[in-house]
Amino acid sequence: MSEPHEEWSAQEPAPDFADKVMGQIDAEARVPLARAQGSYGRLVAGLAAGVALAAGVALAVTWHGGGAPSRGEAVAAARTQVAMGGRAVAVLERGAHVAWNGDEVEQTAGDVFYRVEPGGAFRVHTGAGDVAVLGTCFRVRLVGSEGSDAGMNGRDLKAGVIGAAVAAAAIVSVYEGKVAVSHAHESVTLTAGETGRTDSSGVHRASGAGGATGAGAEGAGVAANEDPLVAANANLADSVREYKNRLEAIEAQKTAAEKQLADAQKKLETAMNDGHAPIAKNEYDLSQDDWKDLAKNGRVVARMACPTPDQWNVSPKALDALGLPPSDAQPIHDALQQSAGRIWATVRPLCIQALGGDAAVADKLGAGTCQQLVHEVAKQSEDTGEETREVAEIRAGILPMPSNPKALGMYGTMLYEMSGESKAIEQQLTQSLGPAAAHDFVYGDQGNWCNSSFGAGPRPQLPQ
Amino acid sequence: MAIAMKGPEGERAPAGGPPAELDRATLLRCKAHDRQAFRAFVVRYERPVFACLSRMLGRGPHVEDLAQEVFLRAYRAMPTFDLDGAAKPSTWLLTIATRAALDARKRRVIPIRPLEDASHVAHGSTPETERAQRELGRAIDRASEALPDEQRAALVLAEYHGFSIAEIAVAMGIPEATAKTRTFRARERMRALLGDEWRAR
Repeated sequence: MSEPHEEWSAQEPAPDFADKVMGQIDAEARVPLARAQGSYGRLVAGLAAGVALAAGVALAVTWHGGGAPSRGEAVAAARTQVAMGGRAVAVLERGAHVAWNGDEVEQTAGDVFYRVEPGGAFRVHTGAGDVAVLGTCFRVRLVGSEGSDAGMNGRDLKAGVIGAAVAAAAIVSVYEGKVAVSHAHESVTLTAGETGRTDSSGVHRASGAGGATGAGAEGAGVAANEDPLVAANANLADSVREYKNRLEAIEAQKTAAEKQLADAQKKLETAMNDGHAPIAKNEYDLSQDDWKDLAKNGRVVARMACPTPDQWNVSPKALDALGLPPSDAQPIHDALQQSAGRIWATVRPLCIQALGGDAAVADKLGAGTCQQLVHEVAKQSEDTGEETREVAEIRAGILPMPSNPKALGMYGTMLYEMSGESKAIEQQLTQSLGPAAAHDFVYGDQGNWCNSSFGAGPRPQLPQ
Repeated sequence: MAIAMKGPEGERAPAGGPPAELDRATLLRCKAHDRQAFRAFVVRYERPVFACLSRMLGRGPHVEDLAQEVFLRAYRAMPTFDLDGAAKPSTWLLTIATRAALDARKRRVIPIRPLEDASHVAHGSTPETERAQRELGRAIDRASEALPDEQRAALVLAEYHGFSIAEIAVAMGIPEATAKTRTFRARERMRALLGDEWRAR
């Protein structure tokens, strides 16, 4: 096979592209719980609602970048929820103690429910054995040598003594997915609904966590009726199921209410439109509130006239579709021509500046190429991301227009001009076509438009 | 565990042609949302993604916007990516990019105009060959603009990213027979528009 045509140019990424992507990822990670999805995600969120966050919890964490701490330690004085790195959430019951570093967790005391998003291996190490998972919901409860809970008492908590309780056994209950419980060279895989116990005698499969399965047949299993802890776990599983059912019922009610609301809104809009069905809003038809939403995400969008004259003409068919007479082709042509002229009047001096003062070359390149050139040159000397955010904020009314236009920078100046063009064209056409037809034309599909979208992402958060 | 990297930035893949894939250990860490590993993933695959998007949509700031979206989608979906599956990481990622590009076209978030004067120039080329390459680059840009979006996407994947017909079908969500027809018609049209300049393959 011959080599492909390398002459077909490909755009190169900016040197800081990877940093921009990681910045966006960090920004997303700052709202980890909002992204909890699925019934178990909702369950954890539901449990969190009843959690006394930081109620006497001793917490030492280390953040690496944004998001939940990738390393830390927590001792719970009350039920406490802790996010561990980007993929695990743990709910610690009173007296539980965990320390985590990435996907490795050391649980030295108490009862902890874990929700782990799918990914690489996530391990919980206990004195009685280890639990390895790839993504699941499970619970690890440590019990002492006398059968009592190996949690911490008030004195231990007050003194901050870690490791005061020595776990003789770990009870592992699985609610979703599967986990491997190991001790020394022995390992047992537990699936959803199963419970296992690991202690000095080895790892044993017990009965179902949710009552879905019977006692395990393998190994020296512990029958449900022989172990009160298994019964306790079954009770917990019942509670989990009940929470889940309640949440699903609430979800169903919410969906029905949302549908009723949407229907009512639709009826209202229809009534306000004299019985005509409302027209879906175009993505470039932006109110100040829409701009505020864009500003939050550091985004600017623009609909404008294209630079080439043949795109300023609108066909008789398009005019007919808009309900306009053929004579309206001329004012539309003029409005688009003037829009292209305004853009060029802004871009040309910037392009000349980018070319070191060579106006002849700028004129030869034309508006389209000059726009790209201004962007490329601005990237070398300006913070184009920040300029994008500022333009969005000015359009949103959050920031005033700077008194010195140069304060926006080359790129920002160009974006500001482009992003105002659709409203300028609409305003001009209102004079000749009337407001409704002007709006329908500018934000409809009948014209030849050049649309652009510029995204810088949210402004990076400064460290607290 | 060390991440296989060349320097602090990791190794960049070439813009065209199938790149050497990132090592398995780093990919495993990416699946676990390891930040450093995913940064290496971005550095490794950013050039093919930019190449794919800019050839499908034309050059401009929209390419970077969309490339960011592609990597964000990949980050979110990474835990579900099957390392032992049939798709290579680059094929998987370029499938995400292709769908994002076609979706952007449908939503009419299109470029202002492709950058016309930005051809690759090989090292050691003479001014004459450089000029000829630029002219050919412009001619290819113009010819590719004449292709329907789906044909252009199929052509870019087949010619520049080494996708098989089956992989194009998966990437574009179409039957293999359709993928084959689109690729064939795109090549035919490029030959018709460019004549001998578009090499027979």
